[in-house]
Amino acid sequence: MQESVKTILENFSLNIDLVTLMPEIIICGMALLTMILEPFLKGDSRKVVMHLTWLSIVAALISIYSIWTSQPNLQSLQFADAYRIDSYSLLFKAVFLIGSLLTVFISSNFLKFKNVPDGEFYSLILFATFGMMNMASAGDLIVLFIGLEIMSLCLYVLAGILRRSVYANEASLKYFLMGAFASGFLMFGIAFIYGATGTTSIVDVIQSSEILSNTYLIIGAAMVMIGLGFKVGAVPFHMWIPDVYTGSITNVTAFMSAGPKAAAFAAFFQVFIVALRPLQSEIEVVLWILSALTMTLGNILAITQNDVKRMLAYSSISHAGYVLIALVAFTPAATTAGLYYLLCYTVMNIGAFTVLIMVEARENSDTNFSSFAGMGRRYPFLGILLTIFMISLAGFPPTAGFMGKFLVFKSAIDTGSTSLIVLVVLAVVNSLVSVYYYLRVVVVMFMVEPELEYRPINFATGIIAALVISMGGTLLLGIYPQIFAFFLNTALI
Amino acid sequence: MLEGSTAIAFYIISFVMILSAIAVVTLKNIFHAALFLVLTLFAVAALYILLSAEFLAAVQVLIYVGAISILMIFAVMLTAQLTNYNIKQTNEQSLPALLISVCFIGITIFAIATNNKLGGFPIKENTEIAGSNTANLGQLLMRDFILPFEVVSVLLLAALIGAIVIAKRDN
Repeated sequence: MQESVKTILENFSLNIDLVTLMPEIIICGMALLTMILEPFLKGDSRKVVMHLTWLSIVAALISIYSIWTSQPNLQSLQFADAYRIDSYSLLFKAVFLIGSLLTVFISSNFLKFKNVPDGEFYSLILFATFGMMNMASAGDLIVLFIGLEIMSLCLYVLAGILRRSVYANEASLKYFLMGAFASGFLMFGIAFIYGATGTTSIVDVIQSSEILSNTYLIIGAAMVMIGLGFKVGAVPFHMWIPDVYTGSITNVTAFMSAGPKAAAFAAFFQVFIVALRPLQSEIEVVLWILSALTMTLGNILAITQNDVKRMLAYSSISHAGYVLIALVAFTPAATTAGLYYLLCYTVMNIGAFTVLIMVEARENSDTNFSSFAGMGRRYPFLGILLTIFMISLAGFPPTAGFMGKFLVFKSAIDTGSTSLIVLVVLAVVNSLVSVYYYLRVVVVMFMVEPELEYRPINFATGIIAALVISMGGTLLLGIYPQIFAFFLNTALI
Repeated sequence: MLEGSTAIAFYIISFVMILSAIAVVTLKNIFHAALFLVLTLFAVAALYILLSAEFLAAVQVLIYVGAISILMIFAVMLTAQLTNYNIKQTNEQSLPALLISVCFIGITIFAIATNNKLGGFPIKENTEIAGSNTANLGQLLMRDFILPFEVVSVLLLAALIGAIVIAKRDN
């Protein structure tokens, strides 16, 4: 018996390279460490948890950078092909980490303002980030599913972390029930794909060529699309987004709209562009409809909102529609453009949420448009920052939002297909419509007089750091995309 | 493929499973519904044995019957007077839901019947697997699927922390 175990071990190698796994190890290790440390810390020393969290995220970013520079064309399959580390997954991880870093910066003071216990908060953020990293690197549909579940479970709890608020309870419960239902679809779909191809490995699925146009595979693909469509918030699976985004505490909303959305898109790219490439023509049609519906409906509903947080929730739906264009285009250049768009969206959207949090973290304040009245006059600099974020979300030069949209639209037009050009035209019209509701905040901020004197805003260190990073990112990604040229040369597979 | 005693066992188990599953979603007394759920899950375990997946059957009984259903029954019994309530299990959406489910079953049956790889009905027997299922499964879990196997523990830990965050007392 012992001998047979020995031969098994000798004939079998997991091919693990710890250096390339460093980002995951740092994040997961720190998530565990924060849980161990937290009970020992009292009073002011509790800040240690927050500092360790952002330091670990920065460390993970640095390790991604060093992997990137030392092994430029990395293509490594580890854990018996269940985990894939390449430039594509590394860049996605960098996007998630930037989202999490900004979230940690904006959370510290806001959690205190809202009386939320902070120890578990950071560990849940780190666990969620770990789940997202698993999704981006998954070489196997099972790993993808488990990563998605780790992320989702943390989000269900984070959405309801404001336990005394009825709206947060509603958000958490709604998200949990709908999310569990969507996960069921995803799992069922993966089972169907396994039934059609006899494998759950993402690379093996494309290679099993005998299954072309098999009903089984199409059902599997459809169910996976429902499951992932829910996670990215594509219409008609978007019903949960407005209530969950509005009910959750604002820093969690900022987190949800950035990293997890990018992670769901990473999964989308993995499944539909890599694994299910044989079904391209069928998938394109469905994605075209999803994309057109998502951006249009998200935009139309955003116009009618009176709450900035809810408006940003609908706007996040329409942005998901723009990224879906990259999926319809189905080319390596389009995937890269989609990834670039997600990075741009992460910095500009969290930037907008940062200002929203500053406005909300005052006495007797809320997230309605009226809370912004007079802010531009009292704090002109902050007003200009918010204006730039809003212009970027609407997609005007010289900001990140413009460059992201430009690259996605260009990659779609380059394919030369008429249906894609129609979709791009629709997207441009939608962007123009979106100007109305994004600039409405700016108008209220600079031109409407507040009823009383404008209550002061608290400038905390973390918030300022988040503002600097997100503003720097928004301008840099928009004005000087060349430094991210390596980004643009990254193709999927 | 289904012959003799296997066929008889299959039809009996399926009959019990479908009837008790219908009972779960139609009975007005939530306690009775929970008990029928136990029966449904037992029948699923019996189907697994029929498919010679004995490990799956054992896990099904241990986890679904032993843990989850018992927990549900406890929750029902500990919730004051819930056992006595008559709960309506349907709403105005039940008819569309029924239609969609029937469509889905139809598509699934069509897919299985026309699946080349599975050979349509009757499903081909897999002769490749040698040795006991449980041993093979163990080797797979510890080799090809070692990563998901380990990462699931992170999932459980995150779930545990989440449950504590939601349920703990305010201090």
